Amino acid sequence: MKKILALVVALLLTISVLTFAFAEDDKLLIYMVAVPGSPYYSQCERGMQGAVEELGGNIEAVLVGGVTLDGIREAFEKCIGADPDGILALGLTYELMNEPIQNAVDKGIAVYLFDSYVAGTQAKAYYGTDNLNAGYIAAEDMAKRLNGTGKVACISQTLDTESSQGLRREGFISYMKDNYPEIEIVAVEQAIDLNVGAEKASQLLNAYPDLAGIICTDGQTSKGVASIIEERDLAGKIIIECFDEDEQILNEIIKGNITATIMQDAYGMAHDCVIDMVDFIRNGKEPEQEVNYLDCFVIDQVNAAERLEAFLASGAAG
Amino acid sequence: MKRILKSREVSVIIPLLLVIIIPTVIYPAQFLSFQNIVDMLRSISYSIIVAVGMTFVVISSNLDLSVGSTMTITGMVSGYFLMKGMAVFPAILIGVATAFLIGYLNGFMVVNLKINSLIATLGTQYVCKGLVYVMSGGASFYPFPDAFTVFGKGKLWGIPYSVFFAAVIVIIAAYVLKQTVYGRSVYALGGNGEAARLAGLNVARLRRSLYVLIAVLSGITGILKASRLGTASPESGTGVEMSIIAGVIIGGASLSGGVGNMIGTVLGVSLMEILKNALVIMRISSYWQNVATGVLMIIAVSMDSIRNRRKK
Repeated sequence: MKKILALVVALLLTISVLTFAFAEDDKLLIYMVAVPGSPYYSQCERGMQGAVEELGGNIEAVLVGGVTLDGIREAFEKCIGADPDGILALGLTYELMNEPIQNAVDKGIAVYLFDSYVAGTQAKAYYGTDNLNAGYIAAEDMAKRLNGTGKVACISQTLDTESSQGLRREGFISYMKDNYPEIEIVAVEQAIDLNVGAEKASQLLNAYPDLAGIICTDGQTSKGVASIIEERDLAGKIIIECFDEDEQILNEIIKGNITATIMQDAYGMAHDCVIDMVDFIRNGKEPEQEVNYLDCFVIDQVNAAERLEAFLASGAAG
Repeated sequence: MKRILKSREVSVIIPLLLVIIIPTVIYPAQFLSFQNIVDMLRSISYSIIVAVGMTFVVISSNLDLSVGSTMTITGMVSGYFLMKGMAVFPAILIGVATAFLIGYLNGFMVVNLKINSLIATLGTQYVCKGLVYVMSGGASFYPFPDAFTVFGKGKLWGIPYSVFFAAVIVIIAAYVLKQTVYGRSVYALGGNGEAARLAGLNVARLRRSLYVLIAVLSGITGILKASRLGTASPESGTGVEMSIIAGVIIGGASLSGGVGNMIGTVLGVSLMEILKNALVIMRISSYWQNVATGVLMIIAVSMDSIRNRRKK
């Protein structure tokens, strides 16, 4: 009797182990390494989950990450330890991400980049914004609103020329110089947060009383600028443009303190990335091109309310 | 007269006059416009409120690197409770209480655990930065009720409330530092801590109180800034500490302790803030603005070092 029982138990164990093993083989585990909790990356996460739903089958997709550059790298390294099938990550900088990406690829993990591109790594492909082009779009939009003439200042969180913000700034300035010579870029100021953004906006308005426009290469500092516009009752009298969206930026656009924002397709970049990644993991299909740029679009008073409604309904506001 | 000329504050008056005169000559309409003067006063007032606390800490021969993150977390905590529908004063009180706890924690680490003040407050800086992201997920808190934003946006005779508030704080601090036993104890602690202890001073309690003082003042500034912009952001307050310490040192306080006063701090902080404003008004490139501010900081610390060597 004991032998029969032992045999049954052994048989059951074997079946369950085999079932588990086969099930795990079939199930895909994908990590997204970004900034959990941020409204912007919540939209990316929704894009990832949207792709997972579309693809069907047994896919588990998880957002992990950190709030600092080092934290994001550490999260990436922890993901490698979990032995997933694929990782979608931010490129950030070559120095920061090349080694962990190489380690992941060496372990047979498919690595795809989204939102932040860095050249020269072993990542299969990139899906995100062409930031130089985003700068052109902002410049064209502002130039039209200014009828091709006036003084414009730029506020940027970084002064480098290679980061996302650096490329947007370079794109904006070069486009204006090439296409709208009567628009003068009078200053480029650095502001690391919205408090400094407010301070710099105020100083710029004092230094150039005839300032016609301010471009912020991010969303955060534009909130500080918007507070100065409201404080000085300048809504509609000076063009303020920025990048990205969240609830506050959309509300400031509705109030008129920010004229427009250049929105990246946060949902689309993660969505398309997951679709191609899973195709590669399941079918071995290589991405058609390494760098895949998604369109940017302008949000202003015409579409801000509708966009805000969609934004709140999506739950991205947190 | 000789005594006045030899005082530490005189060395800051000349550069201060220069950063006022040069933009006044080149761009008088912009630099001397009422709006720009108000902007400068507002920036100076925010920095001075924190710098008052830093002056006490530096005189006692300590440092606090957590002031920027204390400002951030206090604004965020008050903002969080305001968003939850709490009334303005309780939300502010909870924010200030948070700052108080941070100060007490810094004091406890420095006094009881004997951790170097730089390391302890640097650790607190990281903890606070991390906590604001944990509580907010990286998002800003807004909007706030008018009853809250009035503290930052409100004006009297066109001058922001924060300027009057900073002036009151400076007057009280100057009195406490020069005219009370507490103030003299701070000088004694910075001059020779061991001698102060042997003389019967409760050095441990005094040190803890200094960290609480600077944290509470930083917290108040954080609340004022959040109130002014109507937004509490987890990214605000970055790098503020260095600018504040530089202002205090430029104003004549010594990193070795035992020296410093409120007039010097007001002059030093004003120099830093007016310089930042003047560089934008004078259309100096952002790259050079950072260079100029950095050079000023180096000169300030070098002067302190030279003074100390001469004293020895």
